[in-house]
Amino acid sequence: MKTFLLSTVLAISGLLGQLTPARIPLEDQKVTDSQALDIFKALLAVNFKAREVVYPIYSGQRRVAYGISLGDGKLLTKASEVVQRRALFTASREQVAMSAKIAGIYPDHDLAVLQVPGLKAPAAEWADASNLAEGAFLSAIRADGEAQAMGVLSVRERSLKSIDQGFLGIEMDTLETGKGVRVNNVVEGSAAAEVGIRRDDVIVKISGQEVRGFYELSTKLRRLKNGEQPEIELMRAGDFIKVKPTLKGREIREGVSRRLEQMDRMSGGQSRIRGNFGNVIQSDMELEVEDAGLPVVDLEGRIIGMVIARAGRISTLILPGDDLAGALEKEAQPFVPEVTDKRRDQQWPEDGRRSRMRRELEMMRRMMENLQRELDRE
Amino acid sequence: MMKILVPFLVLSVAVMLPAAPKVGSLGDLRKLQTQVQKVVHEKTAATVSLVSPTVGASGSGVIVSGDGLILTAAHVIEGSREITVIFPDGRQEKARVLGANFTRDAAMAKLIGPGPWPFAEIGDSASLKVGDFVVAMGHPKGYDPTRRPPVRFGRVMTKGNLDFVTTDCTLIGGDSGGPLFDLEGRVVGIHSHIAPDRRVNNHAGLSGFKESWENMLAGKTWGVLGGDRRDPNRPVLGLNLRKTERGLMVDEVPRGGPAFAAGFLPGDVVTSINGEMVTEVEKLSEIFVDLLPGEDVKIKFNRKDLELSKTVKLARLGDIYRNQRR
Repeated sequence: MKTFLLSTVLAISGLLGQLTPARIPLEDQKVTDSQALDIFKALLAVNFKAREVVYPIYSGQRRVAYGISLGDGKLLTKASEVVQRRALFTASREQVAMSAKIAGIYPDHDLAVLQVPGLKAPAAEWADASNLAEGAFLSAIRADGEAQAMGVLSVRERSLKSIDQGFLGIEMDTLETGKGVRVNNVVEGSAAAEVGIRRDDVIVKISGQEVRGFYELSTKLRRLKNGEQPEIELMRAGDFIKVKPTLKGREIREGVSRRLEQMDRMSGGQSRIRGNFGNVIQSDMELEVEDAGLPVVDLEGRIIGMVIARAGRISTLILPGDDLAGALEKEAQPFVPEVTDKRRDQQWPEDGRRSRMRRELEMMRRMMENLQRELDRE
Repeated sequence: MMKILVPFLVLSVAVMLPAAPKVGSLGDLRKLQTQVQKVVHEKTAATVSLVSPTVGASGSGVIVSGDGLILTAAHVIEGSREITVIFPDGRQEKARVLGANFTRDAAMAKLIGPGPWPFAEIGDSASLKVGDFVVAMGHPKGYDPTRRPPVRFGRVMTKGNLDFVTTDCTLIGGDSGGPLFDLEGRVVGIHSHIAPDRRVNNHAGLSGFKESWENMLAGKTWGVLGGDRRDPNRPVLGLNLRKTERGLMVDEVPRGGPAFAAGFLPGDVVTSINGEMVTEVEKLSEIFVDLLPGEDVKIKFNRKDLELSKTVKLARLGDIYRNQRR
């Protein structure tokens, strides 16, 4: 299938900068800040379930994530934010440090379970998020009961794994003729090849519905799942032919333009692992990388999920509560703390350059900790 | 949408504030949520993705009439005569590009089929106040069949020149041209550009669109993104004006310009243009943003004790400049 490298357009201020302020005038900011204060005060009414179960997670001097209590002294958090860190600890409600060890991981969900001896906290009660509509108000609740951020449900539950989407295996002609989509090429070994679709065939219908162009056909295919068998009607040299391919998973990774990357980067940090989740909710809540692990509640106070990634300027990803409950029913995989670099890279495939930088940072941090200890001793 | 910034809050509490919509209780939040969800439910179908088949650029747009008039950003349709329109359900249609005022980053296109099309009504941006709640939709990062247009909720943070509106509804590439709605579901802005600060997302206000409406509908394209006083296609009177205590006084009347032909003299004081009072040069430029060379404007002015009025045909800046040089 043809992957469009769309140069998606939105201007960054500069060109238009003289028409709009780069900074918000102070008097306007006072108005919106005071309004936000009221909103956050009103949100205190929805924190009752979440505030009991959320704990900050620290490594050294820094908070690196939050964790949600599973009962029995266990905290659930984002794995990739804690696995490479030393001396993890949390703080009790009395502000006493309590050390935490990684007890197991769920690599598919990028989740880790921390064991905190002596932690007495109730287990979170996960709520079903699948019936929430777009525009539902969500907030991420901290241990003090305040919302760290509020936003809306931007996109309902969906899989970000391309492998879950149907893949026919044709390169489509983007020329719009108004009738059908011409096949420019067929991928070897694909579903299309298996049923004998050829170059220059024109696909006119899928599952009984006419397709008039590239977008209609690719939308229909990508909304089907790996393994589904849509009926496809095509024209070949004047003949109508019906085929019923068994779709495979889509393995193509969409290219992201440099402009888009720049826009995301300039707008704050992004979680190292922020894609390829099997089921997530997208929200416009403005959080930071180290806010992963916060419980997310709706206006009924139900814990509908956990923040799993900051994924660019417009997006915070949330693992839905019902999905979490399902995942946690399975045994966690054992975590091997002293993994070699090579194995660590295998475990966290989205790694590479960033992980090297992270490790170097980690080394520097250790050095500084040692120096600090020596200083303290003197 | 929002995030608490503690130091600012502490500062701001003691200050007397102009009225912004107040949310004081969970009940208020629930009401607000219902309004936002209604807007999303009713207006998603009118929020389309626009792809230029020739340029390959992808932006957004919103349908504002049953017969398929689309509002978008000028920089989305730049260089295209026809665009592919993709609806949130995956249906694809074609639209003809009409006109654009680049200075306002405003543009129009028209769906080719007969319709009727899903649409959102238009509102206005002039009445928006700082703190007003708004909903943004669009097709960020291009059309994506795995989702409907992502919803963003926020507030008006400040207002800019030429009817631009700044909100904290976060936008990114691909959103350009998408709609900003008020809580009644009326289109009040079209996404235009962003700054690194996540609270600075700028939208071309609908009130500005209305000023350029007829010319865009007639297929005219003019202006420069961000505005450019040296744009040779800019409409001009051929009058050099200076702000004085008595008003905008004519300093110089370049030969070859329309004002020269109309008999303007140094010392004349311009008071109004097309019925709008002008006392600042900036106001004059603002009026001219929506006009094209060749259009007639009616100028009222004072010469000594006389109140006079003349109709002048606007010229291109480039033409006057050339004539002067000769």
